[in-house]
Amino acid sequence: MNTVVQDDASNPSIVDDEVLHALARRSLGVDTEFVKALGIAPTDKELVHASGPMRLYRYKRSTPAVHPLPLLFVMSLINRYYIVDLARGRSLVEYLLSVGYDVYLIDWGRPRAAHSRQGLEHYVQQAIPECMERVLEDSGESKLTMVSYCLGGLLALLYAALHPRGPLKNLVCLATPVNGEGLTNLRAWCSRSDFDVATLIDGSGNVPPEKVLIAMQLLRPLQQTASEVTLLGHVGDRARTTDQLRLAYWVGDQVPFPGTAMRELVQGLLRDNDAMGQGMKVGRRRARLDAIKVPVLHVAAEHDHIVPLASCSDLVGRVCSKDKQQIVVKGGHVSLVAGRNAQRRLWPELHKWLEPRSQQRSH
Amino acid sequence: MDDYLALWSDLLTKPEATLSEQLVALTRDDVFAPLVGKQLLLAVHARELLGERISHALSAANLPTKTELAAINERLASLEDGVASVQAYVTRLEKRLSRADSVVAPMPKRPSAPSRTSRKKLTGGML
Repeated sequence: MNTVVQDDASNPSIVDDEVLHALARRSLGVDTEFVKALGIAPTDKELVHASGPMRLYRYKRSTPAVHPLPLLFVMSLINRYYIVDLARGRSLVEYLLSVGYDVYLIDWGRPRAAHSRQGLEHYVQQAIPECMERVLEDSGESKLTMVSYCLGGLLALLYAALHPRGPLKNLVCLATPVNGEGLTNLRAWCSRSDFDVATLIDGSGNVPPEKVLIAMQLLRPLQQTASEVTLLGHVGDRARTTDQLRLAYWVGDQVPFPGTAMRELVQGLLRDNDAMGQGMKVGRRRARLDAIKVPVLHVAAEHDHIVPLASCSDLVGRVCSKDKQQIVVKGGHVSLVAGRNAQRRLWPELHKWLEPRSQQRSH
Repeated sequence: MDDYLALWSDLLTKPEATLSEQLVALTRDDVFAPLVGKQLLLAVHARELLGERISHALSAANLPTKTELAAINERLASLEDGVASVQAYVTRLEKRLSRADSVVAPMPKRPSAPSRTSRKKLTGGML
C-alpha cells in the first residue's frame, strides 16, 4: 500500500491526493518504503510543539551548540519541509548542526477542510509567535534567528514588520517574493478581472495540491521533460540518479494551499502588490516592510523561474535595517537550497553571515 | 549508442529554458490568459459532474465514496494531530522535569562520623 503512494505522488490526478493519504497514511505522510529507500529527511528530530497539522521540530544535536542563538526555519505553505533535510550529505539542516547551530523547523503539514479559513493572520499573528515562544522556552534563550524559504520568507517578513520589539534577532530570507509585478506569469493569469480564485478551490476549501503543481509546472512547461531526459542519460550513475529522484519526489509532494491564505496572497501580492506599497494586509493591520529593523540577509537565485529576481530583489531595499545584505547565487529555486550546488554556493555563505550574528548570548 | 543518447538528450535539454520561456510568454498574452480562468471553471464543473456520477455508482455498489473516504481521512488526521499535541506536551514536561532535577539542591549529606582522634579525646575525658 505504501508503494501506491510513492508511485502516485508524482501523478496525483489518478486518484485524489486526500484519498491516497487516507489509504496509506503514516505519521508524517512521507514514511513510505520508497522514501525510506531514498533516505529523505534523515536527521533525527523531536517534536516540540503541535497545533492542528502544524509541527515544530527540534533537530537533535550530539554536542552542545557552539552558537547560542537558535535558528528557526519557516517553510513555505505549498511544499514539504524536507527540502532542507533532503538526505545525508545533502541536508542544509545537517550542515547547520555540524557547524554548531541549534536548529528548529516549522512544518505547516497538510491543511484539511478544517484549516481552509486560516489566512495570513493565523500564520503571522498566531502560529509563528506560538512557535517562537516554544523555541525560546526549549532553548532557554530570549532571541532567535529566522531562516525562511519562499512563501515562508514572506510570512517571516510580515511577522518581522508587525513585531518590531519581538524576540527576532536576525532574519534570513531565501528566494522570497515581495514584488508581485516581478511574478509576471502568475500575475498575468490571476490578476485579470475575469479570473475567479474560487475556481482553484475544491470542496475542502483549499487549493488541491495537483493544481498547485500544475501552476508551478506551467511556469516552465518543458522542465520536467528535460529533467527526465537528463535522468535517462545518467541512469548508470546511482548517486546522481538518486539525487534527482529525491528532488523529483519533493516537487511532486505538494500539499493543499489553505483557501483563505491563497485568496489573500492573490489579492495582496499579485493584484494589489501591497508589499511594495502600503503593506500587505494581515487581519486588520498592514505589515509594511520598512518597519523591519533587524539584520536581514536575502539570498536569491539567478535563474529562479518560480520567484524570479524581479520579484524578490527589492526586498533588501524596502526594509529599514542598518545591517542588510543581498546575495545572488547561480541556480534555480530548488537548487538554491538543496543539491550539490547549494552545498558550494549557499550553505557556506549562510554560515558566514550567521556566525558573527549568532555569537552574543541574548541574556 | 551512448553518443546518440547524449546527442538526443542535448537536443532536448539545452534549448529547454528558452523554449519554456517562449511558451510561457504565449500564455501571458491577451488571448491565452483569459482562457486560463475559463478552462479552470470548465474543469471545476466537469469535475463536480464526474464526482457526482462516480459517487452514485459507488453508493449503488455499496462502496465508500470519495466524500466518505475524505471524512475518514479528516478523522484520522485529527486523531494524529491530537496524538502529536500530547507527544509534544510529554516531551516538554520531560525536559522541564530534567531541568528541575538539575537545579534542585542536592540532598543533605549524612552527618559524617566524628574523626577517630576527637573520639579518642572524648573517650579520654570521660575516663
